[in-house]
Amino acid sequence: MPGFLRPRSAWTGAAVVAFIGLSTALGHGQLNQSPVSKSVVQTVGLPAMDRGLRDQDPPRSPRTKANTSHATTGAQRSEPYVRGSLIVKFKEGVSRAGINAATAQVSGDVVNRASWADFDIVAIPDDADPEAAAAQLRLRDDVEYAQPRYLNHAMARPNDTLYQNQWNFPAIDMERAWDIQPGASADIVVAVLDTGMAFRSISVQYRSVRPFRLTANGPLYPALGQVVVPFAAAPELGASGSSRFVAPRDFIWDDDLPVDLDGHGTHVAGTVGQLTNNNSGTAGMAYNVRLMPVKVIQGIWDEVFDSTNAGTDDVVARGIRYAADNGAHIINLSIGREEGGPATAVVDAVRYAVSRGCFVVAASGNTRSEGNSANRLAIPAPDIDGFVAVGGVGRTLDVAFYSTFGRFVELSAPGGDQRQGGTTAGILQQTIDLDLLETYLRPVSQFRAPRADAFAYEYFQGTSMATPHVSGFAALLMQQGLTNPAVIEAAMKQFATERGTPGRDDFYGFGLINPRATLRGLGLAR
Amino acid sequence: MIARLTRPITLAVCLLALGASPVVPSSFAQTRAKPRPAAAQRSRSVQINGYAMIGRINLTAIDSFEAITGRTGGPIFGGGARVGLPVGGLFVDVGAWRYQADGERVLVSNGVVYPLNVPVEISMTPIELSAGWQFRFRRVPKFTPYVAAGLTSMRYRETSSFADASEDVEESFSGYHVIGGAQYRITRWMGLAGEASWTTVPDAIGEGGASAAFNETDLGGTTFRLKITIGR
Repeated sequence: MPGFLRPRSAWTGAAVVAFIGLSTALGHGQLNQSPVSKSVVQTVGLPAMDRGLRDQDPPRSPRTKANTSHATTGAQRSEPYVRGSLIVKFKEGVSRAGINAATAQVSGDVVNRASWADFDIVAIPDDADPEAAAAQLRLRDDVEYAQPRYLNHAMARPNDTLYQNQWNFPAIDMERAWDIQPGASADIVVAVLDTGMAFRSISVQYRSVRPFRLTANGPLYPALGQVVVPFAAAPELGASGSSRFVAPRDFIWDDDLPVDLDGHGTHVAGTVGQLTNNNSGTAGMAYNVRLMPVKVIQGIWDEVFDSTNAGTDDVVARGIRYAADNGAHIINLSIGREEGGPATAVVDAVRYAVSRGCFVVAASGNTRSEGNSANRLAIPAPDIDGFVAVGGVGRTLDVAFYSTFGRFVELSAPGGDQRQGGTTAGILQQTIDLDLLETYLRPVSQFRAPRADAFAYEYFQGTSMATPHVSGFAALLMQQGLTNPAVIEAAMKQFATERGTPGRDDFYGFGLINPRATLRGLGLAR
Repeated sequence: MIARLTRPITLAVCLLALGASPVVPSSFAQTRAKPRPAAAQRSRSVQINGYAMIGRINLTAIDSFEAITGRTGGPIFGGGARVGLPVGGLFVDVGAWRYQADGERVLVSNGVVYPLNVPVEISMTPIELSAGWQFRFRRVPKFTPYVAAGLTSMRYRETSSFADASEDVEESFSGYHVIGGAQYRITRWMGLAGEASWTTVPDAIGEGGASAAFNETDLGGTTFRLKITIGR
């Protein structure tokens, strides 16, 4: 009789099952300890489907807080942070008693420190105001910083092979830049901290256990129960399981499977490193680099499936530290938020990454036409050499209608402007076919589980799309021998093509990136 | 152009005048004391000799050249002709030499140079038109010190990979130079000379490239040359 059928073992098994069940039940009340509704069903998947070019889709707005949808059970989410917890960094050497005294001041408790974090998450009552509680803690001598867990989101919104459709590369003289430095090499790793990446062919089971609305008065979509979502590696990014992808990490689901349930991250990754000169699809800036998929932003489906975490500042900060510790040379942040206070935890993480030799690039934001509120993640860029904030320009190379301006804008790059040129004036890349992914945009009767194994070439616009141009550009410079992030930033600024008023200005920063001129550098006389 | 050359010409003439003054009285004194020696009679006819030279230049724009080529100077080679005029020790000289160096384009940040692995080739070819004075000593007739000064027309060429025609540089600039040296006549027809020269070619560089980053504008330098002369 096999051992696992013996009566004694059966009792032991029953006890283990009972213990797991009890732990699971008790875990519901803890921060981020709810049972994970994501599990791998099959580690292989069908080949990806290519569903072609989407140049007839109507333009859609770049992403901002105002037009970013969330799956909620009731009213639309309006607060820029997660309630019930704070990000707190205590000063070095503070005793346990000191920490307890501090947390007691806000009726809180310290939750175990997460991986890749140099700060703690302090649980506070759900009805407490996180901004007030953080302010209270900041007054203490033993607290370095305290901030709410502000939510970040992707900085662009989709619209819809084909190099001749990619006006953005000739606009910054990339063809001649590639003559000098053809696409960098696998020695360079670019981390894309985003909504995930279509990097793996796999089937994953999720649980959708609650109905949701996307808007306060929108239709109520039903819970789908257990669903299996097929994923595939984007054919233009690389083969599933290949060395193209390095050190994948999902901080939204706390696992090593940062698959993309949104399409934003895959599009951004395409601009950084879409496979090029392969007689297929579109091109990327640094098409030979390795890509590190780091998921720090949730998509609507992640919310529907009750992801373990959301894209809060602490999650983004951990993602940055993870990338820096796992070999990334460049960190692309086409993400951010335009509400709430400073992103101290994120800025701290950026400083850490730069100190480790990473060049960090962030989007300036998409709020120019909606109050011009700056991306909080990008604001400190002028104070950190090796960290740049990027604004977007359209096909005319004029600042895009959405591109948030301010003193923190340091460089500009093509982000598309579909108000001036329609759909095809966006940035074209392959990403997940949104028709099969965003089924929550259909009538309720046609609502069903998403597919993430079909791909299309879509035009997106936003500073999210401008940012990976700069990340790819940095990869080319690193391949050319520049390894110091501060020097890379200085070189980019020195050779930028001036736009707007002479010198630096708040719309274009030091100007439009000029990879060819920068890669050529200086001769003796010219 | 003419205006640009006027100042160096004036300078050259002054230098010649200064160089000439100590020799002339001495020569007259000797003439009065005893019959003119054969060597002195030779100076009354036109003497022509050609020369080949090798040497080294130490460039003035040291930071710029070091950034691009990794060196602050290097070997030169060239040649020319000298015509001794029947007026005391006066001579005119036309010579040209060439300096060439390979390097790579760079980025300069806070004075630190970062090579970019984009090949560059630099060449400098000056044509030097000089007038000078040779000093002759009866006791060592084979040994002839000289000084000279004149105009330099510097042809500067800088080409690099991946450049458009408009991005390469091929220009000529004007400057001036002073030379001092001595010749030793080995045989009647052959001599060996060593000389040093200082050349300045102001405002030739410095508006772009690494030279602008280092605020260096002069394409000149100091050269040390060894010449083999053929002729009388």
